Amino acid sequence: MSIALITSLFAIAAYAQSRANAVGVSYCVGVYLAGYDHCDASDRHSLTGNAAANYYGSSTTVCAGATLNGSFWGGYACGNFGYAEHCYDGTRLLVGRIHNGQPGAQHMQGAYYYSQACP
Amino acid sequence: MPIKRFLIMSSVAAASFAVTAAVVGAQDGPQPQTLADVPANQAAATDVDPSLARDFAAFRRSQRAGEARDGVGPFGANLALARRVDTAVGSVWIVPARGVVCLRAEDSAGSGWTCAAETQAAHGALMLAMRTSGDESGARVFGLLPDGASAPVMTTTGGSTAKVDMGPDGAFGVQAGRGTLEYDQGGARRTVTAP
Repeated sequence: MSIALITSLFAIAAYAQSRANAVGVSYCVGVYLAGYDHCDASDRHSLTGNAAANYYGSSTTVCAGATLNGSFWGGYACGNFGYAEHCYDGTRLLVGRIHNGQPGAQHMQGAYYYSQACP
Repeated sequence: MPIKRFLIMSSVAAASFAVTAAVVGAQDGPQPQTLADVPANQAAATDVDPSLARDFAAFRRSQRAGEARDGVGPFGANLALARRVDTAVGSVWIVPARGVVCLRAEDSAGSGWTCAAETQAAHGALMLAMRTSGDESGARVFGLLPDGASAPVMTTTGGSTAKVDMGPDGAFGVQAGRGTLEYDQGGARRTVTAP
């Protein structure tokens, strides 16, 4: 039993070194975006990260970015296997944006993070 | 009373094993086929998955000084295990996660990530484009090609082509507009849309 308890403690310690406790807010879930269209989160926050995903497309281009005071800010990160994320330093009030990075329409979803380190 | 004590101890032990299995087991299960099979938020990878080392040269060499960084990215991507490749358009980090491989690059606002299931990346070309707002003409495009890939060429939608300098780690970085990446693998010419 002692071994089991010690092992569990190590496992829990490893789990703590993760983003599993991130403060994440999903938005634009399941939105169907035309080619190169985008969808914004409804609220702004001191973002540390913003992710765009199409988990069910085998190889689709999705992009993650953000706006500041209504204007696009920073850059897009785009990935070709249905996932992209952009990290920020958390000092600005940003609105998460997901962007369809391909000409064809696709279903996407976004999630932004705050109070959570994003390396 | 001894029976009651035994039952209590057994319950505690079983619960401990269950927690351990739930937390650690994710890395020992079957390989995910797509990112839909993997939770985005999970514990940091504790080592390089053997399948990653089998398919990508970068993970068969030792880490060099300065490559490891602190932090955990999506899907448990652990920067402490990362390999860095310096390209003409900036550095790209190849980061192992749990059944997943990720690319990370930096820009003036922070960093960008993309990931794919190891199976997907081994049969394709994982690419990360760092685009500047308002400029759709070009981007810094970073990529990772699996073992056996060769002769990569980037072709933009405008028709211009650029030879891609792929280093020994199978990674590259180029400035390119939207287009496709072509490369040889397994005796066939493959074409992948660049992000």
